[in-house]
Amino acid sequence: MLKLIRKELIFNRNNLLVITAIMTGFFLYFIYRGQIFSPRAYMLFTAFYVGASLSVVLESREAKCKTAALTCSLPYRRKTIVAARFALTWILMLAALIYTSLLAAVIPFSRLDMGQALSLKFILVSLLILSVIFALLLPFTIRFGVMGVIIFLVAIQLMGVVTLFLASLLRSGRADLLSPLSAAIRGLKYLAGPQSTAAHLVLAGAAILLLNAVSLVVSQALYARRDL
Amino acid sequence: MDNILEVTGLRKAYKGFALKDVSFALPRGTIMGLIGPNGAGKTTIVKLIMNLIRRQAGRVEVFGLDNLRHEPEVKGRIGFVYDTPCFPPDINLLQIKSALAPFYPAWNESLFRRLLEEFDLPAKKKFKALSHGMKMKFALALALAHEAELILMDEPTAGLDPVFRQELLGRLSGLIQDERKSVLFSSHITTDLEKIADYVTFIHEGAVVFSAAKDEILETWGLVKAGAGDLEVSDIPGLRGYRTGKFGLEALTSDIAAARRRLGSRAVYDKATLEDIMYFVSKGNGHA
Repeated sequence: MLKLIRKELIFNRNNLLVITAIMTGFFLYFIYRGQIFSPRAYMLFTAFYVGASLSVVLESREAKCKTAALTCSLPYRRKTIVAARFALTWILMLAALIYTSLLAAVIPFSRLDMGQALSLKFILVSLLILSVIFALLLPFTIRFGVMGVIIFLVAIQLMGVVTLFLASLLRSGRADLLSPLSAAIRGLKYLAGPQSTAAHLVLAGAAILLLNAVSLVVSQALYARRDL
Repeated sequence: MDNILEVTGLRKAYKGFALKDVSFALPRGTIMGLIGPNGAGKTTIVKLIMNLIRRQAGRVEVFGLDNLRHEPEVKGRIGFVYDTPCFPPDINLLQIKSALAPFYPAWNESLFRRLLEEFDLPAKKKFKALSHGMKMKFALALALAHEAELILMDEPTAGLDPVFRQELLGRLSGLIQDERKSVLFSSHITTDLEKIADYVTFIHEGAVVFSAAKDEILETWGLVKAGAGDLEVSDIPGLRGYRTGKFGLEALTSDIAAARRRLGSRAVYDKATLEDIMYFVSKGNGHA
């Protein structure tokens, strides 16, 4: 699997360097402005932005260069190819998180106090949120390619619209419609707060692993059915 | 002689096209040409062998191993060359090689370097800067450098200039001299196959018309020519297709000896080329 990850890094090296340059400029602006994001929101946004960008870049490169057939002609099963893609996305996403957090921590003009975000509890909550997002996104990209990413991002936008609509219903007394979402948010806040125990954190860790495992298995099944 | 590749009862259906129970075998140490008109199913067969598309029925055994159950092992011993080589355009040839070579335990670096020189390939040049012929040479160099036992090529000569086509065909002929390696290549350029193929498998509308030794095909199949009204097409044994014109009748038979015996001096006889066979079977009237 390491060979597959290495191959992807070599094949996408130039694009990853361009993304890193853009990301650096983009996040330096946020660090400088400070008030746009809290340190915690900055971390979450960073991870989502980087993860989504990477999925788009890797998939669009594969579609443009038609390298999917090349990858599948290598001496590996498709299951391993998908697992390598998963691992690579997480590796790059975590590397980007560390990089942007370091940027915010060491740049002299930074107005973000990253000490607020760098707690085990908050990192776990971040990983949990990212797992939910990418557990949904990755099967889409595996099955439908770039179009899958676009569909997913449009769906996220629509979900925003639906949320606003539900919020207006909430104000008019239909709070029950939003209760699962509110409960999830309360749960995450609780998990990141001082009241959560070690058992809660273990459960959160297990949830992260489970979400990724389910997503991986679904993606592998979808990719096995894809004709190249 | 053992078979390096055995395809049995392969089926795959798309909207408007179906591969129907395709079966053939490639003996070790030989070259087989997969011929047929565009859209006959050649690329589909190649992709099924590489498991790039899912088969609906049938079996593919490479080196005596099922190509799905032993996928990594099988693919590690195949050198696959696409009709249009697909590599990232913005990195150079050495970078592509450094990404792919570790996948193959038998990778022969000195052979790869030698092939780059022989093929006049600029190692530091980006892939997008290469001509189609050079891209094909590079893909072939990669396939050969990992000491593949089976070279699988999909339309490798399409779009190549005659000089490199000759070079490529010579290289493929040389490859099988050790009687260990084999080559399967699909092509609709039949003259290439007549030069180097030991076996020919002809695919038409998703089905195998024949799969046999090339010399046997060229000896047993033939053209029967007669003046207008000199004979009925139904008289021709082994009729596979015909055309009529103001000069008379021209027909393809899969049994030229039987045709000679039955028709005698009522007709004249000629050897059929693979191109004649492809033409009459796919376009001629009255397919048998």
